[in-house]
Amino acid sequence: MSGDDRLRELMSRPAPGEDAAGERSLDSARAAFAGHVPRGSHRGVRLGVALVAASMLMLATALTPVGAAVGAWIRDAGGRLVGADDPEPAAQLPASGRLLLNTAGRGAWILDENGSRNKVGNYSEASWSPGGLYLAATDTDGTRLLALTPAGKVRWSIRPPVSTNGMADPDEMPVDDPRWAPSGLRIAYLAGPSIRVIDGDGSNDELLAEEISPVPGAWRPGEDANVVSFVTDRGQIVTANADSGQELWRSAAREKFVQLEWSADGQRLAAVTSDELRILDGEGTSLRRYRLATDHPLAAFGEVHEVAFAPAGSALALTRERGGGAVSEVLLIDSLKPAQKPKPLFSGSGLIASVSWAPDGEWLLVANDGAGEWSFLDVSDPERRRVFADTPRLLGSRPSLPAVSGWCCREPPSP
Amino acid sequence: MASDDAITIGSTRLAISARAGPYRLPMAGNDRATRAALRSAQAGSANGVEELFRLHWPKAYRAAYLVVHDCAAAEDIAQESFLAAIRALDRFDRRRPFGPWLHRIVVNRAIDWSRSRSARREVGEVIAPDRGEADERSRAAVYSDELTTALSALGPEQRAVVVLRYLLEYTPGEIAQMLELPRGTVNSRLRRGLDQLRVALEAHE
Repeated sequence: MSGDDRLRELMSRPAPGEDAAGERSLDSARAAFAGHVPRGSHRGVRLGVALVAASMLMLATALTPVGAAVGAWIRDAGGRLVGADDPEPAAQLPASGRLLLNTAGRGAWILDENGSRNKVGNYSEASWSPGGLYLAATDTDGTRLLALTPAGKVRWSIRPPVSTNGMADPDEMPVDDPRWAPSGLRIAYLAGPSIRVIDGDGSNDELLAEEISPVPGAWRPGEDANVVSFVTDRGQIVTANADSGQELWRSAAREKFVQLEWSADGQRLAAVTSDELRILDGEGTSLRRYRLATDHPLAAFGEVHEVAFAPAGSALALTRERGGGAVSEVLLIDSLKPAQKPKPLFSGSGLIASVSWAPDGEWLLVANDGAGEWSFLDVSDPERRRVFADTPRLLGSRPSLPAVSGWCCREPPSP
Repeated sequence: MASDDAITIGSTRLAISARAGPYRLPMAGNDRATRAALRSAQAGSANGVEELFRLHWPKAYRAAYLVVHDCAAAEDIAQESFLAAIRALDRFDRRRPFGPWLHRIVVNRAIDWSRSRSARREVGEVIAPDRGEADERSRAAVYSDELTTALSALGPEQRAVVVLRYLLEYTPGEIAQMLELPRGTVNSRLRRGLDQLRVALEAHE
């Protein structure tokens, strides 16, 4: 046995007191879970802001006409706009459209631009269809895939079959991450270790590939065919025609990718690992790599967390964090100009969970879960921003941090 | 970039085999069991939390113990780290790796604890590893005196690097990220730490 192997073997044994400590700690964990409340690192700040907002609310209501929306944005003493301090604070959007929100234990919700909220239902992993006509979602058990209207009416639901590779334990095979194709005709979703594609009307549910990494499939816009990219469990990116099953290209590199996203014109693919962002062209050729190791000569960032292409053009928003979320930043990259320096848009404390572009491409929603607040940034003038500082109570008095699934278009007019 | 192993199937939609290459990378993000447990816990299931605990407690506790060499402190550190995880459950992205996130908290807290203890202890005082209460399983095969004694000769930062490498199986690059150190520093701490450990372990043979 080599020295390294011996060391591994020695360390793999139980530690003294491991089991007894584990039993005590599990009791604590159970108790904490039974009464857990999302903890914001800015609880004190939020309280302070709420007090300021309350006083500003009194001033605002004194000056505004009776009947004006109490939930309107209020500017605090620091010049930021914050939500009103009421049991269900309203969050108006600075641009048109609707936010789709997923919560843990409280289902899927839609937040309209005027601040009104409606619960779609007790679903998970909800995502928009093109044009915001429908939603794809899973049930909370992760066993069914559904298509719904934004009002919550179920159009169809299916229970995907067990994967043919022998992994028959449904607990280990959740249905996850449904994504509508830009054509609106297909939905790609994960079913355990496989990726499947189904028609938008719920027919023709078929297996596309097995032995897949749990990374949501990314549809490529601008194609006549329905083309989707996914990651194998060997870390390769595969881009395939979902209609014919034809593989178009496969990356040579094998990496632990956690996110794929195509640009709006389908010409560039952003592929994210925990320490690197790669920009690939439409044929899978690597154009640019942003390495994140602190001692690398090309190092520019801390840990990349999330990327989002603008709804049009070549801009890419990128979040990064340092110190385990102690400091988070949002940068803007022009994916057509890889040599150009990234433009800083946002910097603050707390962990950024997501960035979402407004449908008009002029605003960016930064969901700072660590601080329990949303910052809406004017992309052309990042100093101009609006902040909603009470996201944990956005959906009611019971604290819940909603995850932003997407910022889509206005509700289409009724026929 | 056309792949040499592209698969052309024809007009009918068939499954693409994802197999390519002779080896398999560790799953990106979480293993299936952790992902299922996270999903269950995030949906409000206590069973999901317990499963998450069962999957990750052993290594979290062992990592803490190997850095601090104190059962009570290891229990506090590992327990507090899990409680931090439970508090963050609602916003945790299941695609992100839970294990590394938890281990980063555990090891950084363990380093801090060890530094504090070093600052408090008298010069020349020797800290004997605390072997704690001997539960049944740990009587059968616990860390040997040779390992714990050998590790205690290293500083806490060196112990942390060795534990992250040999117990938790992280690469030097991943360790550099977790501890926010230059990769060169991680490599040199590993080298020096292993040199000292080999000498200490060989002395027991």
